[in-house]
Amino acid sequence: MMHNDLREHIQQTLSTELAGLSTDAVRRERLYRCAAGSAALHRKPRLRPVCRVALLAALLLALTCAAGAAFYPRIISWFSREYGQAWAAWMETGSVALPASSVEVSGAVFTIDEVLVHDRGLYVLGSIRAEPGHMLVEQECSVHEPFGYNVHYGETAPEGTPTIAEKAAADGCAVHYVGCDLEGIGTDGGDILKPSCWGYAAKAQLDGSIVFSMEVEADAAVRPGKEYTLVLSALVYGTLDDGAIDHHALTKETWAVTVTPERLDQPARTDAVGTETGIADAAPSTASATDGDR
Amino acid sequence: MGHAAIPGMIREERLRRWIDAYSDDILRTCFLYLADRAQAEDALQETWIKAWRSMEDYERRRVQNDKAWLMRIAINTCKDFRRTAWFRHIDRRKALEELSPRLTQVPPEDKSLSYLVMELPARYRQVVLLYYFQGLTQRETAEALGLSPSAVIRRLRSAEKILKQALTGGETHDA
Repeated sequence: MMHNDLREHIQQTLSTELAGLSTDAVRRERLYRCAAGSAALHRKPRLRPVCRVALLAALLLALTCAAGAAFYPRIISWFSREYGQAWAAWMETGSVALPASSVEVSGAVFTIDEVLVHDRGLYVLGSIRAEPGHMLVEQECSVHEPFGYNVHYGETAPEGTPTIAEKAAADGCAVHYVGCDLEGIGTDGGDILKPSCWGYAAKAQLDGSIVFSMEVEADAAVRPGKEYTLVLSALVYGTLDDGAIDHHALTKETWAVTVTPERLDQPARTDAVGTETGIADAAPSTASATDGDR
Repeated sequence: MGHAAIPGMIREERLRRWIDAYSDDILRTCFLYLADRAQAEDALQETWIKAWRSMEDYERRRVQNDKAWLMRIAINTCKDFRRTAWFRHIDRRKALEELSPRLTQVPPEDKSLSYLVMELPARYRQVVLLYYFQGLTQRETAEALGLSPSAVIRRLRSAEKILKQALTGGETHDA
């Protein structure tokens, strides 16, 4: 097949296959109104003085409550930053487990820190830390992005921040692209079911670690139960000469984490079994490595 | 007063014209990139919001090819979506089946071209979408992706090999 033939073939075939994907006049009008009206939506509201006082009081109250609170899952803070306080309130009525289960793959330590289950939703917060001599890049990011900052989340790195590639060169570290996959979920010792759709988000931290979250919502793979087994894959990719991810140089390790989440109004306990490498107890520093994550 | 309103009106008319002309193209490109219809719809909306907010930039640059400029915004929006949440782990075949009942009749082993494109590594998928599917030139593709023209040519060659191999059932072999 010649180059131009291929181009024509691709254009025609994709257009035919995707013919059902189109916008009607009503949708286009909505798109127009949403876009043209967007400038007004993003104006920063001005606070009146009385509001400032009320806000300060609320902040002080929140700080006082936070100081007195014995335990508040980071997983709720993480998701509420994305989805808002209403989401946090909803999650607070769920059940949480703190497995701290880890696996080490090619210089990267993957840890599942917290698991929250609510209704038919399952949420995971984990972290990936580099062993000495290694540096990590989230698999969808680039070594040319500033070290420790998530530009695709709108973060701006201070002037002079080195890129990941520059920092790795200066520190003499090997660079690896990393990610974590959720392969399946089992409930109360039953079959491991693969969720049809799940979300994954990851953010680089200033200490060089990566905090990630997984979310499965209203999926048949999450059934009502007491004990959940998560089958996860730790992915470590090599880099090409230009610093890009090398999809052909993948090291993958699959491990299982079993948790029994408990209601947040009861004391949460650490319970993880089934780690393939048996190093679940060897990662006590995880919490400190990722506390205050963004 | 009337004169002062003219630039804004021109922008609004331009935005309307673009939305009518390019929404379907952008939606399909986003779908092939994200493999999820709902995400593609969100990306389409985000693309128009960004385009509206970048009108000044568009005018300052004296953009020659509107479509290429818009596709750049769309691809960058998709990249951001992929880096955040709900992006990678969607069953791509399922996404296609939900899109078109016709595709549900395709045997699983007979992969559709849309599926093949969605399966390509991101670096190849981007050039395929812009150059092959949207018909941009190599130079426009390079500008849209922020790459050098030679990098685009290299990626096109590699993508072409993969696609030819898949389309001809493995007749073409990598060198």
